[in-house]
Amino acid sequence: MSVEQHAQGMAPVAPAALPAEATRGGRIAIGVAGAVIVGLMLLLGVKLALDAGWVQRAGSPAGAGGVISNGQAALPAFKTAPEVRLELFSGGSLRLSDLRGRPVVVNFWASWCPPCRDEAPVLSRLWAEYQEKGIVFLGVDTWDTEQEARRFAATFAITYPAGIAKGNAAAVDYGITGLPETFFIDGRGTIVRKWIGPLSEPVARRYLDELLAAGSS
Amino acid sequence: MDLGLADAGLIASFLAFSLAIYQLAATIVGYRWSLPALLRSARNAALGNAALLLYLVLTLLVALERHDFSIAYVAEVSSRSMPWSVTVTSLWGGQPGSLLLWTCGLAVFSAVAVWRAYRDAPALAPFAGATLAAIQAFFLFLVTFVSSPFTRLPVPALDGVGLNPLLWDDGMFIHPPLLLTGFMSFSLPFAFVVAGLLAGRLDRAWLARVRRWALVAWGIQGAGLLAGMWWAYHVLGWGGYWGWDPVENAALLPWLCATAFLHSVQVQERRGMLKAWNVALIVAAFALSIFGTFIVRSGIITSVHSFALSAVGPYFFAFLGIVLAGSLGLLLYRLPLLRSEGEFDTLLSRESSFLVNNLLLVGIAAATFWGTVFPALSEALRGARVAVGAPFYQQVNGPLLLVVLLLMGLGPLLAWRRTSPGRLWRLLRWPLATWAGVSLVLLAFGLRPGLAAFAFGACAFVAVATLLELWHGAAVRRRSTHEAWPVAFWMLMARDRRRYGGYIVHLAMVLIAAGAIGQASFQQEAATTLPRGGSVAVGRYRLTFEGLFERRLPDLDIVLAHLRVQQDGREIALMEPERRTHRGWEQQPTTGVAIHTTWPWLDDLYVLLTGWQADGSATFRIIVNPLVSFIWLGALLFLAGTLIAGWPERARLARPAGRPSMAVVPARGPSLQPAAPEVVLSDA
Repeated sequence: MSVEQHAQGMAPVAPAALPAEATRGGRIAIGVAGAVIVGLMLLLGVKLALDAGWVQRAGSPAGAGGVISNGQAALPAFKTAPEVRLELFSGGSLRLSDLRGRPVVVNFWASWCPPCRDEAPVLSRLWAEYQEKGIVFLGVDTWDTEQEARRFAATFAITYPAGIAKGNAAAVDYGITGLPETFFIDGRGTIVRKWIGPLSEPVARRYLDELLAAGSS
Repeated sequence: MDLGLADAGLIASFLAFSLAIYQLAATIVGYRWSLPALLRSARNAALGNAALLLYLVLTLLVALERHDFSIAYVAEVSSRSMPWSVTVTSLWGGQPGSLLLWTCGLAVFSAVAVWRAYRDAPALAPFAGATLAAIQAFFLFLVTFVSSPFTRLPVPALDGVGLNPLLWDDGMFIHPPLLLTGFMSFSLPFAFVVAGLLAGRLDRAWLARVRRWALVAWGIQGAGLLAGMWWAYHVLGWGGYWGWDPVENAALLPWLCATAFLHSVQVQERRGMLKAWNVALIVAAFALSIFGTFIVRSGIITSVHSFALSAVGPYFFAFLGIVLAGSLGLLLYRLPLLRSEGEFDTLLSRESSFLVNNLLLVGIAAATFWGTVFPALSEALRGARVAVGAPFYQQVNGPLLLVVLLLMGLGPLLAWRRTSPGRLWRLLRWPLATWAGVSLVLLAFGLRPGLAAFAFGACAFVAVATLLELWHGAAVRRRSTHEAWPVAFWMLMARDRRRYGGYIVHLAMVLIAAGAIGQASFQQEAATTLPRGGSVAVGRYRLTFEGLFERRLPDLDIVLAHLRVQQDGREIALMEPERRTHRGWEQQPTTGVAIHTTWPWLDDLYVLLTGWQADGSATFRIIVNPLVSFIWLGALLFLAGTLIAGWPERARLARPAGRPSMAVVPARGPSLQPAAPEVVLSDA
């Protein structure tokens, strides 16, 4: 039934004060409201797409994206990894963006953190194995003194690139809630997994293999 | 190995999703081809859905209490070191769990609403049922496929991460569930609005139904907001209760729209005006409740409350788009039925005051909405992240709220259609005199700023105007019935609970406003480091630091300070602000605020222990918050008023007897609209 038919059906019963004008005014009001809503939704959609990394603003650095999720559960597979700049213990510096094209595991740790001690041997062992398969580990020392950190790296024979991120900027950008935390990043710079707490070998292996599988497909 | 809790949860949530889809399909098919058996089955599906969701919530609770860390959600939000009572609150401590609780609430409310609608309003029931089933299906889709609380970890964790210790508090029992329920319950008035539009039955009974559910949603949301304020003030320890954080705003927006609706609906009932406007308000309230959920959970706007999980963001966005487009389309389609039956006569009338009230409330909502989304919009347009802080909201909303307050005193005195100036003057002279008197007395006693004296006077004006209305009502009753005053008041309330419940809510708002004005205008603050035995004066109080004490519990270290408080040389209290460190959360100690309300000034002494040094000295933040206790008093009064106004009437409408057990009958009654036929169900 069309609007007009309804309007005609109405006419005899409704004590309509301003019949046609009122309806037209209402239509205009709804049209304006609709236009405003469409505009707002468009803008919010743009923001959503930017956050999600579906689109990138021209010239923006990788990882301008928004908030990163908490929890051990799987991440949505569309988060761009924020940049990490490391002053390596071995000398020199390294940027995450230099490693584009290779899968990277970014591990946040500190010498004073007991669970990091549990985790360190696991990472060292896996590094020996996965290095050849093309995965890069990055150890980001966080909220720590350099001396203690170097001792920790020596104790656990950490040979993968490890160092301090200036001003702990990376920890903030990644939204670290505690230590250790580990991010699995694919060759396109997308965070695929996040793990809060110490990694056990089976879990780490599973995620590493997943990274490899994603990279090769 | 037996079937784990995770499997049970996954299976049940899939079943619930299927059932919601079935309910939707059965309602549409049953209505379209007039198959009452199918409609009855759809109605029963709503009940089944509620049962399944209660089962799901129970399953998750059991998993939490059993520390089943094979479930990702359990490992994320609970840990072995958390006491069991805190573990209960983990149910809504994370995104998937809170979505489940939301959906459960919706299922229960839907079951009640759909069942009642089939009994009392068969013409609306299929449409409302289908709308609710569609909303339910959307949420169950998220709970089942996108953000399930029953997803397994690849390898069970040994211990969970646990909730942030800031959330280990009794307030966590009340505030989040109330707000989740509040957000959820805006679905119900929306469903009935959509049902009325679809069925073309926009009559009185329909309006009453929408109003009732709107009142329910408004009351729950209001209680949730007040509980959140209480919690922020007593637990979070930043000295205030409302920070204009995006998430607080998101919860406020639908409440403001519902507040506007509860007022303007009276204009529609009395005068048949503002019909399309009222429909738009309910649509806005629902859309804003979805929008609020969307921005909280999509990470699109940065907030202290962020769940920060983007997976559900795009779905909410799409859902919001469908809701808005559908509602606007429907509104456009039914506009001819929503034509106004009258015109505004004069400015000095009840309906005009409601109109102004609506414009103000919607204005406040629009400003708040703008401030909330502006950072996101600015980032989308220019790539620059900006923050909209509390000053923006205070400057824009403060004056508007003051005018709303004044209108609260004036509006109820105005008559419908027109009020003669003479009569208005008779009603207004005492309240106005109180306003002038209170303001002048406060000014004479040196209260500065003058604006605060003026604002307190305005509060007194509204309070006196409202109390006079109550007193007049009771006096008129007494003249005819010779009842005692308390009896007369009680009977007056009982006779028109909606009106007088509303007045009580108005009085509650006056108390809250007075508290807010006091706190905003006269807060005093000091940050100081005191040696043991040292003392500091803040306002009329002197606090002496007597030393630090330590208390060790198995999972918790507490350091507390003893502070003796003197007021005008007389000792009035011993305050013990604390700093708590939970095992496993060493980097994040929480504060235990000490609050003492003084007499007779009703100042809240609000003391935080922020640190200590090796020599035994300690650093404090001391805030004097005047009149904040008025806000909590107002909150209680708000609850009382809402309950009075909203308590279900007992069997007011006897059920029409002798209906055909099953029939498709044309629209009955004095309905003005060409309406959809109705299918009458009987309870078999």
